[in-house]
Amino acid sequence: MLDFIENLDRRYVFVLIALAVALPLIFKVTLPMPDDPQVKNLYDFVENLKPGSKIAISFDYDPSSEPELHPMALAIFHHAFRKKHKVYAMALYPAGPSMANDAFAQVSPHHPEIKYGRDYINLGFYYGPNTGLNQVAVFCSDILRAFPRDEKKEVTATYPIMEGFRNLKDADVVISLSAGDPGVPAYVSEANAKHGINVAAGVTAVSAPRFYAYYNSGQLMGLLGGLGGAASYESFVNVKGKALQGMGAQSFAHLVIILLIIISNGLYLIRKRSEEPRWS
Amino acid sequence: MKREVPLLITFFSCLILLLDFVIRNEYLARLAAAINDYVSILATFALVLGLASLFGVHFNRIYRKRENWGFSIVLILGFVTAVLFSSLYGVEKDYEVPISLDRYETLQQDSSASVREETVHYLLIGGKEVKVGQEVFELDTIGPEHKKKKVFYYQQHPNFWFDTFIFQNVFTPLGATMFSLLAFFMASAAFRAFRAKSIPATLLLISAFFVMLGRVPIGAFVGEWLEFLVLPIMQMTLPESWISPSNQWFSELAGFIMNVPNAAGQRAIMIGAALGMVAASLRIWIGLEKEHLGRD
Repeated sequence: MLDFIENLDRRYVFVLIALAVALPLIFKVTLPMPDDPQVKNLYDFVENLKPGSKIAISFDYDPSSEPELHPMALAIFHHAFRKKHKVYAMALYPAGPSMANDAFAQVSPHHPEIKYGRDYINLGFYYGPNTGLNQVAVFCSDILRAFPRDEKKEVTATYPIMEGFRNLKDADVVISLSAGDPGVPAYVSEANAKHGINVAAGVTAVSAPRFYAYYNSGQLMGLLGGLGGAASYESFVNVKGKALQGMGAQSFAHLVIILLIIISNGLYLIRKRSEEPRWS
Repeated sequence: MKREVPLLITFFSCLILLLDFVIRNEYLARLAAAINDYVSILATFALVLGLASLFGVHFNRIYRKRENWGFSIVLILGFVTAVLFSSLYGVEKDYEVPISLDRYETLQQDSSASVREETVHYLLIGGKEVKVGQEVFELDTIGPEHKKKKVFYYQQHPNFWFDTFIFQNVFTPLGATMFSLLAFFMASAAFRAFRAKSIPATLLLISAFFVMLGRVPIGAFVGEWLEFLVLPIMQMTLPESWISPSNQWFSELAGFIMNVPNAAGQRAIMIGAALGMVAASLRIWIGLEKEHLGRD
């Protein structure tokens, strides 16, 4: 029996994880999220901005990170539009503008008063070498140089939303939703360190530990880590989105993994004890 | 000269970028922006080289029928299909086709058709028409004999092949699937390899336990159960001021682990890497490091 569990076929593990993820999603198990101070910082900041403030959101991800980062974009859109802020979407990833389009398409029916070009604009993708520093440098000096035309191929400068928004320094906060490089490090190094712009980040759970150092030093004024960060923002904004639904599944998946680790370590200790020489 | 000129270019480019970082000057900022543009252009050449190399490797694999050569066919077909449809229809949700004024007026009556008009302004310079944008020139101040405008009409069609088929129906689910597989492999690896074999491994295991429970809502429920079991013992053994009943203590402990030991470790790694990068950059800047110029 011990041998069977110790050499358990990984397909059994896969089935357990599949059930732990699928069942809470099927039965729509939602659990209350614990407060996340890093998320609350960003929420409070956006909440306390005057109506008409400028929020730049950089869509630095593609569909592979959509399950974690897209709910953040939706929750931030809801919050910003509710507070009547102006939202500027841009991207360091080629697929970013499509993600922004999709997020806006999902959110706009809930905010019929929002008008493209007046309250929201999708500036598109700006190509540059991988680190992203060059792109962000251009955003910080002249946004129209980076985006002479928006995602709809119209002349960007002709939109009313662009009045008073000549570069990222005019934004009250820049939020980079980032799946890796280019992304948050470029905004921290260029926009925050060089120009003192408020930068916040939404990152995947795998990369989140790396950004706590930036958060603690004040270079990031908010940090949304993985699906948990997205769910926390959703609960602050009072939106029942996919992140809150997903946290039920993630909770049970974590429980299964913890149980598997406890079992494997229990077996390891039993095996170790039985192999130790007995001094009698 | 073959070495000196690139070294001089490197030196002055780095100097301008460095000065631009520490000195606020419009002229320097423009120079730095121009250098950034050149970097983008050079990176585009690298992209072409990379693509040529990718094709070379995969054609070779198919030609020699090496292991998993079928995947190489999928890669090349996927690449060619994406390039073909994005070149034909663009990468946006809709693509546009120029139409005549008559067609534009006819389609305007049809509510299902999506059409738009675009006015383009030209300056007449030396008998030639130079296209300008409204955002650059104050056109109102220029006399009518020096300017001209043309109106173009477009019909918009949904970009089925690239946006709906390739991006939404193939790329998006495949990308999400790749990321989702991580959970399965992580669980399997944790079961096999995550063992308390040494003190560092045990510390990692304990941290992982608290972080995994503290970062999800179910941690609060587990916290409540544990509190139910542990609180009476704590009340009997510890001073009352030490005990703060809260079902959030898994979350608080996870927060502490992420904010203190994790952040300290990450900071050390980042500072170490940054110092290494500064040293390497300095060597390249002052010409001590010449590997990037080639060997001959």
